[in-house]
Amino acid sequence: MVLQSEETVQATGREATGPRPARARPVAALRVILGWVLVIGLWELVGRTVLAGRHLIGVPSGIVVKLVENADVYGRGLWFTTREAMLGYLVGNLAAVTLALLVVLLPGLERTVLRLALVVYCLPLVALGPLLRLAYGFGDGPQITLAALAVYYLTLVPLLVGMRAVPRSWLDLTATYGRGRWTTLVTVRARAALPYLMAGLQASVPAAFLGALVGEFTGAERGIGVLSIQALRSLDTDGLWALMILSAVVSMIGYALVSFIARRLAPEQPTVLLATQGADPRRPAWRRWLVSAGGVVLTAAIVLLAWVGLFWLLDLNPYFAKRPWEVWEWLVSAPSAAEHRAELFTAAGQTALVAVPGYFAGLALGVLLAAAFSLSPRVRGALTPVAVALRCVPIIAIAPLLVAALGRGSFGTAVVVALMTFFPTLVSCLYGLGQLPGQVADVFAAYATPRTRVLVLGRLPAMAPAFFAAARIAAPTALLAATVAEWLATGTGLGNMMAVDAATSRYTSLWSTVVVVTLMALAGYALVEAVERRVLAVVAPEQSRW
Amino acid sequence: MVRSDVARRTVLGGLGALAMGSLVGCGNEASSSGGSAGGTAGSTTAVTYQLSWTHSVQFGGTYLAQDRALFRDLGLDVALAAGGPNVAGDANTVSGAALMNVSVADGVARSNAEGADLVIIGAQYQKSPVTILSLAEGPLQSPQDLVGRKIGVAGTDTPGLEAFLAINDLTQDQVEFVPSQYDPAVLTAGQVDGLYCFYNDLPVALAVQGIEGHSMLLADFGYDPMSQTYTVLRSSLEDEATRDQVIRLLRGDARGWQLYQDDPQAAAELAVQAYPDAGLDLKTQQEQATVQLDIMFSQATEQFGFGWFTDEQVQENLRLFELLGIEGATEQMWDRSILDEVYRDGPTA
Repeated sequence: MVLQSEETVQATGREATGPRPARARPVAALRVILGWVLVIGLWELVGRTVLAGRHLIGVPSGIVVKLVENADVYGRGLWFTTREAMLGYLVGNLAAVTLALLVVLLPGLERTVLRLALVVYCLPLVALGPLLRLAYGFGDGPQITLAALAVYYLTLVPLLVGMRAVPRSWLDLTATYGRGRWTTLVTVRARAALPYLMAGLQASVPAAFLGALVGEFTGAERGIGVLSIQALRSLDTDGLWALMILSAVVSMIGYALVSFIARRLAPEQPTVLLATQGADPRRPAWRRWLVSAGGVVLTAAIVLLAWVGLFWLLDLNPYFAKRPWEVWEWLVSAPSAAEHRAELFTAAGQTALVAVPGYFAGLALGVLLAAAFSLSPRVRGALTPVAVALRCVPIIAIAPLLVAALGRGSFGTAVVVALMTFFPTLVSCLYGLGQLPGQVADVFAAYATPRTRVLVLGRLPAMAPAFFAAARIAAPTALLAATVAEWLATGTGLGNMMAVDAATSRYTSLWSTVVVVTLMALAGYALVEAVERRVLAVVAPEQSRW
Repeated sequence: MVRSDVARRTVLGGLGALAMGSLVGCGNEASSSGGSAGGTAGSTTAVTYQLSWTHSVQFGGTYLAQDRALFRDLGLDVALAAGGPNVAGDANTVSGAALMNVSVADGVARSNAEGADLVIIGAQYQKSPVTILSLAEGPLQSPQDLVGRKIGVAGTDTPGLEAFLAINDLTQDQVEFVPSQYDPAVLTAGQVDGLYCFYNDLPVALAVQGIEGHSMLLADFGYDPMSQTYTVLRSSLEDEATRDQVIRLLRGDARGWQLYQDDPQAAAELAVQAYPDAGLDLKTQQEQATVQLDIMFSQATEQFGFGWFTDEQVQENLRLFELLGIEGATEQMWDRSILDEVYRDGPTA
């Protein structure tokens, strides 16, 4: 009977936080401690025997020694990077919320705003870093900006999904009272969007830290990024691992803090949305086509204008800050344009070869982990730290290990891409699984439906909007992850091409590559969106309108 | 330079074109003025000197010049800008963000081929530091030893390795290139037989870690691009006031390196102490400080002064550019008039 009641608690969508029998606690704690001792012991053993002298992994004892010896240096570095990450997190999320509000109040802008946001998110680090340093000069500017850029999109997309996750009847109610979009936003949408906002805020914690860290590669004087380059270049593997563990711990603390707040704020139980299908008046195909084509043209025009305008405003030197017409000349009108295109397409092919499998693997990993987490709190407790750690450990630190374990081919890089992509999916899906309406959950509970069946019949369909939000985010993320891995670790594809271009001052080629990366990300995004529209029209029709 | 940047940034923030521009900008101004250690605004000129990598004793002489107020005595308030994996040094000089940067001849030639107009006015290294590092159990001692081996090389260095092979009558298919970027562990982990790197960087790290290695300087086998070059814009040399700043900057730097030659260990200690957040290890820095003496000081520096370069070197570099496929470079890319000015009264700056 006891077991049964715990299951019903689960089925209603609440965490199983009820007190366990008091005697079980010390035993469980002992088991956990023993588990950790075993893992660390094995790690030390492997590091000191099989992998000794190869500098692939740090060993626990060496890491501890480094942490103690360099406590003040590491402590200061950690503080600098954390501060940059926090500022970036704040700025990025504020930007996301502002953009979301803008879209809700002026729904006509939605697709344009989202496309522009995507373009900004897609700008590759290799190209952006030196530019930011030029624009900001000394100081923390580039690090904070890169952290903000890594964050805002992760919050914006789920937030918009959440703003829509409201029952039609509530909107009708506010409309009946003659209230406008603002009232609807404050009284209805804000509340509905809360879980989705929290998902974004949680997923973006490690992203902010990693953004700040990579931002330090642009000539910063201090911080974990600077220390890791130094450790890496001096073969100080234990030191490098110590730094990575510190980064992971800070990200985990941030993640735990946000999830604590999220639990406090969570609304009682999600309501049944019950939206009718296809309420959208069907317009003729040619008109829909015209509207979307118009949208694309408009976005392109704004991007080009912003490109030229920002470069002018920042007074960037035309030697490295190439303008759109120079890219056009490079790719289209110059005599050697065909050659340039061929070079770019070969590299793009290599990148796609790792980004696409990495994308699907990351998505699958995210969904599977989310399902496992929702079925077993124990799995959740054990694997959450691992998931956060995997997301925030910079690729530069684990690349040698991954390459050694998985090889230098596209498989290894695809795995790296998956590791860098899965986390937002996991977090988003976890929240999505919790969106099973209370009444539906009660029905399942009344029939004592097993958890797995509740998952398949109830939670997975409820998760659809959150899943697709994650899938949309993951498309550009996978591409960026692939280029970063290529830049820092494997030396292939578009990532390497951009690094070589930057190092050999081939700036026209660099900007052309940036354009191609952005177009690829946009295409991937559009594909996901098309699939999403079909599926959500059936599973969550409320998502197709405001 | 810095001033006009600030104005632009304020405009940006005001327009709200980037919501974060203004917020971030504020924090940044405070730290940049703090970095230049309270200059006496009236008598000194503020200039930025862009280094080629993150802080280490690699720039020890420059630190000595800064620490002993050698720049200050010449009326300069010098801000040292660190480099890193994602820093475009030449671009910073071209844009005017830096007055001078430390670069490498083939890099400068490439920048010029893309439309920059940079000039090399001196070279800190008398010999290229590029080396192929191998482990002692399988040492690569001559170009012939590379045949059939795996060599780790970063994407940006691939043309260099190709040129080296061509100079030594080897073809690319005789050597397996393994794209490796920033991680030296590929060598210790046995994924490659040799690693393309810098003489005063990884070989030192390897030695300090207690691993025996062998370093083959490519300069000893015909590949010797001028390295750690003092690079400035041609227009900086044409303007009388800027030219004067360049002369003072180079003179101060050369004086710092003269001090370094007498006491490299002091520079190592200074690097660790001046940049406590760079994560430098004193022992490694001391070792590196000694090692790089080999490539920085020579017969030529004794005779003509630190940073000197010869016409023969220029010709050799031009031939090398042909092999590297860089077009358009001529003797005009070098200008020895600044060195001539600095060493007018003998080989001491």
